[in-house]
Amino acid sequence: MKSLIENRFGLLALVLVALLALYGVAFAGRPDAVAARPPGPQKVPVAEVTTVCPAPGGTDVAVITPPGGQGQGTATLVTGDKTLATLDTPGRLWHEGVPAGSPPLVTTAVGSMAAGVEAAQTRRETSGGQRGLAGVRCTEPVASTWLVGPGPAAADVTLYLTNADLAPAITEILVYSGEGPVVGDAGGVFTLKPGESRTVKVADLAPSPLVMALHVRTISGRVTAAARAIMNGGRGVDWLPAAAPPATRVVVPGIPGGGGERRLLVASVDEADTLVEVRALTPDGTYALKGRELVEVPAGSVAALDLSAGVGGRPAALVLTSDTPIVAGLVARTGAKGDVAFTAGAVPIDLGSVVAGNRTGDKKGARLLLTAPDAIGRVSVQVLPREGEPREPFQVDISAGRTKQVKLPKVDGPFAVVLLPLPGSGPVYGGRVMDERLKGGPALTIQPLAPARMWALVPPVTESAAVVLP
Amino acid sequence: MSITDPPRPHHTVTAIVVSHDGSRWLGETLEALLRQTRPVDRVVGVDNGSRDGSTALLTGALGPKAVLTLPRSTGFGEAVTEVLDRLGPGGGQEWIWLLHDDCAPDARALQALLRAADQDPRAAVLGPKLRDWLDRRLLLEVGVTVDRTGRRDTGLEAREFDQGQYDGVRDVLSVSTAGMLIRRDVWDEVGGLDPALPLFRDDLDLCWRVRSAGYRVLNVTQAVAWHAEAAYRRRRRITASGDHPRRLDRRNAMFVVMANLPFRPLLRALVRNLFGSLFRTVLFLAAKQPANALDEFLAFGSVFGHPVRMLRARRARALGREQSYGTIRRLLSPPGAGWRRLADRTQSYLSGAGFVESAGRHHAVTAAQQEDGEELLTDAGVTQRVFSNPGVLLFLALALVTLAAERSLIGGARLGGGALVPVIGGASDLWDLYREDYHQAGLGSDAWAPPYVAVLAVLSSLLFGKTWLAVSLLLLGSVPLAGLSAYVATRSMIPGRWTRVWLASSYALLPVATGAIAAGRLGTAVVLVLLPVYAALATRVLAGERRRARRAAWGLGLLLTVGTAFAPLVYPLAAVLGALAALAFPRRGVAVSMAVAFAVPVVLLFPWLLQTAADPGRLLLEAGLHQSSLVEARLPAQALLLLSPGGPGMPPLWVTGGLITACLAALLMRRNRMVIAIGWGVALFGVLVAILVSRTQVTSAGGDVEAPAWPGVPLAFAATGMLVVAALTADRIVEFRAAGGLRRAAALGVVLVAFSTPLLAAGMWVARGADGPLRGTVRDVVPALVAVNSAGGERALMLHGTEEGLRYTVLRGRTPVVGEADIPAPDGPRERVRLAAAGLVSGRGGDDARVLAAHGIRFVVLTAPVDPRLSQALDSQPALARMSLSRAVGVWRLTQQVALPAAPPGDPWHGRWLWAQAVLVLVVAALAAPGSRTDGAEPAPQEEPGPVRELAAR
Repeated sequence: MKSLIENRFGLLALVLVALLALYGVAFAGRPDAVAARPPGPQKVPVAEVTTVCPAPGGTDVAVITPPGGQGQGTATLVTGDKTLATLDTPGRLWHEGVPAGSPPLVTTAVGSMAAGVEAAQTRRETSGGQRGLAGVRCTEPVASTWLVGPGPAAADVTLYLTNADLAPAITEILVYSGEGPVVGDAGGVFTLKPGESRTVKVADLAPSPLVMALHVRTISGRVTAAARAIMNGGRGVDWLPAAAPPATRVVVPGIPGGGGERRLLVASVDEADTLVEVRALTPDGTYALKGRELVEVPAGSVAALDLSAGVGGRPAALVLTSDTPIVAGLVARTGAKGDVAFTAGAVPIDLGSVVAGNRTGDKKGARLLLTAPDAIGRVSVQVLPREGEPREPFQVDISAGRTKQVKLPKVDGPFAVVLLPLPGSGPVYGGRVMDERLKGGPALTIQPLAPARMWALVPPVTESAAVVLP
Repeated sequence: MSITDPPRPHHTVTAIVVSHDGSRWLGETLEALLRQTRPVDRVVGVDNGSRDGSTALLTGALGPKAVLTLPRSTGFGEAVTEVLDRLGPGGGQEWIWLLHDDCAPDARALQALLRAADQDPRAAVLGPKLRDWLDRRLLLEVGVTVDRTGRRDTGLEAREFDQGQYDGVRDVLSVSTAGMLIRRDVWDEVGGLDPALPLFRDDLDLCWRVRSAGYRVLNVTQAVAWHAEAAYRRRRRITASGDHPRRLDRRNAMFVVMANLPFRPLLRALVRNLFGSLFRTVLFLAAKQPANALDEFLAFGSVFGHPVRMLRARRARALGREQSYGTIRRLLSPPGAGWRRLADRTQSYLSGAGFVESAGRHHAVTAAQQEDGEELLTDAGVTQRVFSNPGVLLFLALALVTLAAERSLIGGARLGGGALVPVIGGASDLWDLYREDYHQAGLGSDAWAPPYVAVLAVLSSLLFGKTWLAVSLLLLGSVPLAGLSAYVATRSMIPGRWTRVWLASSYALLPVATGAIAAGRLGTAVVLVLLPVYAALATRVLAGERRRARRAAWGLGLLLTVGTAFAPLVYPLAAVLGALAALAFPRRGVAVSMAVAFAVPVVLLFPWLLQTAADPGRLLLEAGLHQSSLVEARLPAQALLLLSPGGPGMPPLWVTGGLITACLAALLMRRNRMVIAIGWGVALFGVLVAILVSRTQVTSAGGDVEAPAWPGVPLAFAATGMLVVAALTADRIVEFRAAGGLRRAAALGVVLVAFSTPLLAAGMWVARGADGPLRGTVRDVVPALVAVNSAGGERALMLHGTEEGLRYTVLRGRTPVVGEADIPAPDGPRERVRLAAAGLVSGRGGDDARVLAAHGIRFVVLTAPVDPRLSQALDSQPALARMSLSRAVGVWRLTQQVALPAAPPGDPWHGRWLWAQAVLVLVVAALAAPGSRTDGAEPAPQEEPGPVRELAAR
């Protein structure tokens, strides 16, 4: 050893060999480039859901929880002080008429009844000023709701606000018109005590707009907001569905085929003007609307675009893209003196969707319009009648970039529909169209499919003190 | 002597020479006495029982009749009194000239003294200028004064040469009895020397009494005497008292001051003495001079324990005390002198000289300063001396580079980022964190706080309670500090200042250093500064003189404790190297010293170390957060060999190429083969450990991150080894240069290559800036809304959405202080809160909010950037009410009642252990503290102590 150290080159060689060996060890020990895939979110059944039907009086209310829930659970239907029913069986449809004049119906589902509980109210009038079909999905209390539709100059629009929570809610209503944001004298701020509900005539806030976008947001607490539009001159009635929150890409599904006006309303909520590119997805394919592929929307205002000729009477969905966030809705009419119906921007039904109240048969028809804008969609559809056994689910394939119309089968009595995306499916958007031939023109209502609240996506959560860092 | 002078009284002078075992000096003394230009009128010799032939010398010179022999136990004052009792009065104005056997007056001394006496009829006591016996130019005394605590003050610097700078006849408080000329009538009037003070301060007491009686005490510098201070310097045995001279001196000093001060000043002096003595006792203990401490303490006790004696002495001195105090007060040391002395002592302690008292010391006792050689060769004023020192220049240069590189970090509002949680709070928060036996922060934990919190707390306390200052100093200042420590620590190892400059700058600018700063790694930054000190201390343990080696071992243990607290990996690395070294260099005591050095950290850090070692992976981590973004998971093999640990703040790999090349070239040198082999061994060992460390997946304390550990510390070890190797062979460069020709070119090339590493590293660092994940200004993550509303200890759930998922932590009204985030929450509550947070965000409903409420969480905070999906999910929670939402932050409040969980009763052993730890640290620090150099250098008694009993003159 000593001689090795004393040797001038011996030590150098020894060190070099050692360094080489270390290099080898380090090289061999170098871990492979495995991109650590972050664990995806986890699906867990929801534990509690509250929905509010805004004006159940004189309507048929349907409530269902899709089958499959484990364990105990109840769904309580309360209107005012009165409990209408307490449900405890998932998969069984509750579908009843509610006495006229009833206050908002609050459905509180817990446990197994909470997973995917869905409620809707549908009103059918054969004559009078509110002739037609008017249906709306009963929504949960939220902090922000977007509603797009005709303005007070074209229709009698009433906003229904309900605070079903235990904390007071301070609510602010912002109105965007074709000419820009409306700054009303009334202020548009309401405080709703726990359990309180109230109606607001939009004309009181902004009397003049022909088209409008309403943003109901809370400064604290949560509310449910729904708006009913009764078109001037008896030209139909319907509820405005809640539109998807502002985004740079909005899909408006559920545009029914057939004759009548189709008018797209696009609101830009950003502080800059924007150009919106419109593409239509029909059963035949995707195409840009001739001459109307670009719509200019000034900042903070609502632009209207007549698509009656554009989609040519085919069932369709629209894909709108823009540089800045937009909100979109669509007005559909059947004939000159028929009924009106509204659809709006929607989100994909990633976890499935439930439509509670449907009727078919005789003069009534119901169909699903499913759109797969990006990739092939595969959905299983199951019909759950109020009477009788649940039907066998059937599979629907939607080609990429197309819209597919699925007629719902004839069923005695009301029924619910449960849609579940199958593995390998791309994002699917959809709407349920229900019509009825009435004297003086067909009645129509549309409900964009909303993702069912069957599952909650629990993100991977870790404790980390690094949260305190920027 | 002109004719106009007033008629002079006729003087007679009686010289009294007191001897005691002083034959060494006595001959010269007598000769000097007899050679006076103004001959003395009478001479009496007194011998206090000498056994070395002093009596014979006296009788030989003075004749048998003029010599009196007294017993050995007689004191100086007694001896003089005895002589005067037997000696009738001389004629005219009679003077007594007192001489010690070790005090030789100059031939003209008496003449000068008498001339001064003529000038001033009120002068009753006159003393010569005293110079050192051996080194005849050294000044010993030109009059002595004292402060109110009895500290002797000569007004001279240590080892001051006499260049006439104090010349003149001056009023002084007292003069030494060596060479003192005193009027006999005044002697009789004040009662002579007090027999209660057989030794030390008897002169002071006498002069004070003379002053009180209204006479003057003068120092006449034209008169010179050489004094050996034999008694004080223990050149001979003291037999007048059994006490140690130091204690005697201290006791007499206090006694004299107290006895002579008037009542009011006495009260003040009492208080000052009380606190002063305590303070000095503690200081001596800290300086590891227990004997001094004991003396101080006993002297104090002895003065205060005899009130009767004190009262009697005061009564005897009552006359004229009040009246003359006005004059005496001016002659006492000014009150500020005490502080100045403390400053001097601190300074001398810091410079390694031990607690030397500069003022009032019997001067020649101070050992000659060991010349630091190179450091102080040129003496052209402090400024030039300081700024021409390469170490200082290096420090300044590194500081400038650091300032330039850290331009974005320095002066920010709040330092944080990377591994460092934003620095908030003050020293008291850190102390609280370290002391509390149950940590309420987070979800509550009874784990031991990491001990580096205590180190930071101490430093923060020293820096006016400012934690940010302490952290900034350690982290941001680590480069200049590491450079300085490397420069100073290699002083004894490496010859050549510029070699050390190269070594220190290369070391300070290693990729490890810049990486540690960029990533906010406080632990590595501290270890980097300590590592050269470890090397220096370990060298001393292995090679030093035995006592110094043991002392170094204690010091190494203490510093290893600090390093281990910041980065536990230091300990096993150092332990392996230390054990190998102890085996390779077997010497007596080395094994024990090494055992001491490596047992100290284990003992001092015991419970925490146990807790950490329970999860061995955590030994590879360090202070601060473990984050995967701070390490390079696939660190290339060449990076490890080039000392680059990966992560943020790395210069390009080739920057260290010059260093490695120089180290490889060192292998070709013929000298110091053994040390080179050892250095390379350390380097290879460090690299090997670095490879293992960087390939080991470690889960953080909170369990949230699994990533390889950062190999900064082992690479710093490796770099230290390499740098020492290269620096040791640097002297060959000089020889090569002198050789000329090809060798000269080669030498130049090697120097260029070697210096390329620090220069390139500094350049790259400055150009890129040190801005890594570490930021100078970090926002406070806790919104004011929450901070204000959680006065009762309510907690806040902080949520942060990332691409990999959601991260959360629980805070209690404020950002965690440094170290708090390193305490893991217990598994149970953590898992429950984790599930509740997940449920809350997913919006599945249920009783998640109740779980949070049960853990005392009142607020849910979404930190920036606020993910709108998350804020919607929280908005849609019925159990939460929104308080505030913006793009930067969202705050929700639980609508239900929040139960604040009570803190469980603390473990009583926690507090006890902390006390024990504090005591242990003090003990180790005392054992490690450098003892005063005077201890060893003090001249040993030169004479065999006889089986003595008696007294000597001094």
